Amino acid sequence: MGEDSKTEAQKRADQVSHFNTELKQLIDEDVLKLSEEQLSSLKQYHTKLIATLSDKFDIDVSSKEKRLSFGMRVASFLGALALAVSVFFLFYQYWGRFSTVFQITVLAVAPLVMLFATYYVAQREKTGYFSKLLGLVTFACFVLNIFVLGQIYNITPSDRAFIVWGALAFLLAYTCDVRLLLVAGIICIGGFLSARVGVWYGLYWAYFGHRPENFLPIAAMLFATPFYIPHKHFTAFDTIYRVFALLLFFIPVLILSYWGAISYMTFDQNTIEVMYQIIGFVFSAGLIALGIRKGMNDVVNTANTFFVIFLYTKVYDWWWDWMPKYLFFLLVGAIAVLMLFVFKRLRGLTKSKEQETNA
Amino acid sequence: MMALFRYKPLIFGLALIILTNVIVITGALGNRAGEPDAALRLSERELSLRTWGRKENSGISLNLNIHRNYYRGYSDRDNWLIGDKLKELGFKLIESEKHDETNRYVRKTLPKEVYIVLEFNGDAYRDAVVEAEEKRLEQENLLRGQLDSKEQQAELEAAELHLSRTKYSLSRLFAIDAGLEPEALRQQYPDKAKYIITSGMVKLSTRYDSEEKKSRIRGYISKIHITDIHVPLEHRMLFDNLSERERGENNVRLPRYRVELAYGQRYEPWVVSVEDL
Repeated sequence: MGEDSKTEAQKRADQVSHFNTELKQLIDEDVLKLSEEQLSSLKQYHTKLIATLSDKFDIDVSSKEKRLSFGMRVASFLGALALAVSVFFLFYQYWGRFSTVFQITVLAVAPLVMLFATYYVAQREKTGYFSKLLGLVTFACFVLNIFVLGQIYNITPSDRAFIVWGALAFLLAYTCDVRLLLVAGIICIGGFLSARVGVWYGLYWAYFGHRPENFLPIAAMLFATPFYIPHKHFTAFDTIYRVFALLLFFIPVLILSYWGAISYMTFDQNTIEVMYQIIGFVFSAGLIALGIRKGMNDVVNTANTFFVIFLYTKVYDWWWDWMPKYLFFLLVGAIAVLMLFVFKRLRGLTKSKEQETNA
Repeated sequence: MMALFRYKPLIFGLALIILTNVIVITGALGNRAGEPDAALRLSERELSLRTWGRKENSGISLNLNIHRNYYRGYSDRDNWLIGDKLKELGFKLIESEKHDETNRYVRKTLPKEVYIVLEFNGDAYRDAVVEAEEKRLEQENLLRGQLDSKEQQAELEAAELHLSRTKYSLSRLFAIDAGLEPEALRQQYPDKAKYIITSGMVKLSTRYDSEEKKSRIRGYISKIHITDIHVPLEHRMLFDNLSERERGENNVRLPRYRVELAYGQRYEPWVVSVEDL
């Protein structure tokens, strides 16, 4: 048994379930014949395997369990968000009635206690629902801690707060396998690094969004991360890195392709916009191809979405004003049909490639 | 050793939280150590009580009001942020006859972080009072010529209100200078009971000069970093008991309290004391 994470264990259990369904079908249709002894040995092996995986990782064995688990995940996610928000409101409701020393004590002790609780629960709970929930509350307490200290002492806002928030978010995300905290960590560290890039170019840190190019190096770093650091023990961490990398790349490119004035480049505004429009098309098409080749559905879907956005915004730019509306929408429909054909062809190519590999 | 490795994330997390708190608090206390960079006695005119969000937030804070010299929706604020001063702050200025080109350049230019000098109850305030008096006199003279004009009457009333507000209700704190080095600014403005040095942002804008028929580049203060000043528990009683007593009519609201505000080594403020007026 080589499964090291809950995701891998669940994948193996699903594989066993599909295998048994197919085996039953093959036996019923007289395609395959196995002796009683072989069947019994197989059943024994699978029962033992599922029992071990279930005991170690608390996986879902039946579809009913899966549905319940999904409900628990949703409840845990919403609960964690609501609890994190309630921490803010609870503190703000009463903090004015406390002395400064008491305020600071509460602010500093809350994340420490929550961190202990998260770690304690994470060590004992197999499902991870409660540790994930506590992890998010710990992060909320720490954000509140630093933010309110800034208010109490009237401290000039600094981008450095994002480093420590991001560091704790990453620590909790990797300790408790929480995707939401990984997203929080990426946003914090991404925000800090973008602000630093802006500062190097003479920008005040809080205005880093005024030059969308600040996000491009961060997008490249995020995209490269799962290639260099494998995340097979974590649930969909690779996907999150890649999707956020693409969002941090395509959103600035999309903005700059229509608002070249806010670029660092000093060329004529139109030249900058055309350049970013070309970058948008070329990179989204290229990333679709890369995604298909590497079997990364997340990259294909995100790049695909942006390719469509780039295409339709351009179509709108070219034709909306001078074309009769019926013709405009007819053309939009025609483009959609054309794209369906292209994707169908791509799908066919991928399929035949897979069949060749299997053969 | 194995136990230590097992607890590594916990130890790292605890260290991160504790160290961050220590650094933030030490820095804040360092700001308040030694002789303050400025210590002023301001009133409600300069430090108004934050009233929004009180239902969900029990904390009290005061808003630092900078006089913007608005009159009938128009403000000639920060009119000293031009030419050489902007160059001194690191802005590159262009000379262009074309309005579009100047506008494009200004839109493209990034705001700069600078140190700003705020003057309390000084020449800038006295000038504002004189200007308001002159405006009122001008409207009074204009009304003499057209006694039946309701519009002119309204103009005079607006000028009178503006004068009263400038004299008794609006902030006496004016942004009068800016620079990149706070120490140099303090040497230039040594009176610590009259001048605050604080950090903020300066942005460029354009104004069309109809006489010369060309756009002129000028700057304005787009942000003072700290304008929301926290009131600690020991000073909040006055604000809790602040009666909604009559503060004057026609938007001329009289101040109800005085606050001693200090600025420290990092040019960050704190409330030293408060008193009823």
